Amino acid sequence: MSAVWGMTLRGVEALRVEVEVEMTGGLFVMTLVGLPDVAVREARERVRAALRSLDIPLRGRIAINLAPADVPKEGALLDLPIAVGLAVQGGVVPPPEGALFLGELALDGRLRRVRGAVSGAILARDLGVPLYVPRENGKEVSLVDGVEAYGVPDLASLFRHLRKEAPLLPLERENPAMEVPFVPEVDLQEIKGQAQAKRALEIAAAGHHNLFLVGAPGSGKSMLAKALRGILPSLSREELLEVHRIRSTLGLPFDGSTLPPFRCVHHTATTPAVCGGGSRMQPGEISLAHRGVLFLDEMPEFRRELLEAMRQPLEDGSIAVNRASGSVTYPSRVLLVCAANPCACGYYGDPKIPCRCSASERRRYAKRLSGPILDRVDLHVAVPRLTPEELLSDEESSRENSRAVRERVLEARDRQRARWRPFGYSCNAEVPERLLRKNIRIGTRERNFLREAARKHVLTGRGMTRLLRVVRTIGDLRGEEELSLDMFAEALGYRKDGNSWMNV
Amino acid sequence: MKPQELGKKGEDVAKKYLEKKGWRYVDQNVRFPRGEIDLVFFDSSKELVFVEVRTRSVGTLQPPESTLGPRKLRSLLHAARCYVNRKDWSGYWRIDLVAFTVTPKGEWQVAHFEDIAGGMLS
Repeated sequence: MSAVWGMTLRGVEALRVEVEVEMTGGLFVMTLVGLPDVAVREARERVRAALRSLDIPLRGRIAINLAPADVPKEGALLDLPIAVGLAVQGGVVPPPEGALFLGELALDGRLRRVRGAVSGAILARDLGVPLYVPRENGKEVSLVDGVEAYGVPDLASLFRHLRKEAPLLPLERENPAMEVPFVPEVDLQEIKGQAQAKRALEIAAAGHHNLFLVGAPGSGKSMLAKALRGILPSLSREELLEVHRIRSTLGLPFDGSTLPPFRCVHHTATTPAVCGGGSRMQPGEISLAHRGVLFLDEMPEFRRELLEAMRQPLEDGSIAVNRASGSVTYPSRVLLVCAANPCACGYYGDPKIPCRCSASERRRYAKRLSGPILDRVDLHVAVPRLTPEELLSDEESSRENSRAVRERVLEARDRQRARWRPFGYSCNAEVPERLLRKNIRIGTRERNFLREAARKHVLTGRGMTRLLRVVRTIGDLRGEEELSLDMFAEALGYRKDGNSWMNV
Repeated sequence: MKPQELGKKGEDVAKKYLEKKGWRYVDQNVRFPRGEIDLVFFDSSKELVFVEVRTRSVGTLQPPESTLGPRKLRSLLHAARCYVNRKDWSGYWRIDLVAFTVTPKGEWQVAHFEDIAGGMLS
């Protein structure tokens, strides 16, 4: 087997591309076939200059074929396999026995960082071949186990390695899954009052449940959302790989931290920016926030089409981007945090400041959020304006800090992981309904309570399942396997009350 | 010296210059309907080289190599292809430019540009 392989990205998936080179006599001309995009076609100039810098001149007619011929190839990461293919054909290096090369070449032969190196590493592992990546991609590549990867600084050292003159050392497996001491931007201790919202944050973090904060302007919704970051558990090694696989396809830097992603989306965002798409079918914010938090501040200001588009990915934990050129699926298991004012003026339901909105204005405001999207949010919380006494109280020590809350969250997560691991899930929010119902017992008293609640609050089937998930999380936070009536009551308290979500 | 004479002289000087480099002479002044090739040589690596010679005396501000434009290059390419076809040559080939500047003192300054058509697709 003698093949020089490169890859091209299709969503987060890496597809193998075989680089074939033919050289014949004639005037120097380099042609490139196999549906290259502009960046790939321009590889010719970079490759020629890089090889020239190593005193490997190209001459004659050169035809380069990128197989399979009917798959569009994109990106500059094919520079390196093309250069290696030319060097093999020119007899400069011996043909490698199957190897995957990724890298963008500088004109002087150095290698530049590429997008999609993590996916490339997974491909190399599946093919069982060694992988050569630019040295700057080394860290993210070493997240993938069981692959023989080399970080290459420049073309000259790669050729010396292939000629077995000066072997490169394989990359060491990184162990980034350490507990990094993270100092949250906002500690729960700094937040005054808001006991119910804090409790909801704890439940959301423990079970990965979606959260909706409603409150007057300045009541601390954004601050609460930021505080959520400090109590979330770190990413496991598998989750880290999932997160960085998506990040690497966009070329985002690898920082090696195990902090879950936290993505704030402004309400002017377009649907493809959030849900993924574009000509290259890139992942959107909802996929970048996978295994972490997606924060939508001022939710009613978002365009409706965008919110509706998020319904399916929120439910399924993955989003399919379908375009004429094909379709790709991205993961999108996010903890959605939304914030909104109760009405246009912001003070509806406030005990002191009167609301200046008319009934029809309020209705119009409330209508901007559709029922289906609110039905997917498990925890609806009112964030009231603080009283003057609360605002001036300085007893930080009397409040719990984020570290203590995070301890409880971690314990609850451990319990969930132990329960759901045999089925391949790690937290309550992602467990499918069938499995959930089978694995929790509901007593007679609780069943009657649920029946009554369903009648009163018009619970949907999905609403019921989501309620059960929250109940399970509350139980896990308490460390109790049996679910008791007060847990159901608390969970029901976080459900939206019928249609009047603005009832603060 | 008339321009034609200067050009002819230039080709002779170029021929000597290339032979001195160790290249093997093949042909000279080959005419085709769409262009002429001044010199044909094999270089030291047995690559067929078509040489265009340009000569200028000082007094004009532009260097001789700047007088070879894209149209001339295309006709050179065409002529070279015809030649390669006629002789059935299947190895590597290229087009070089040898440019002379004649100083008022009568010195010949040479500039040799290799592969001036390199990478041109048509």
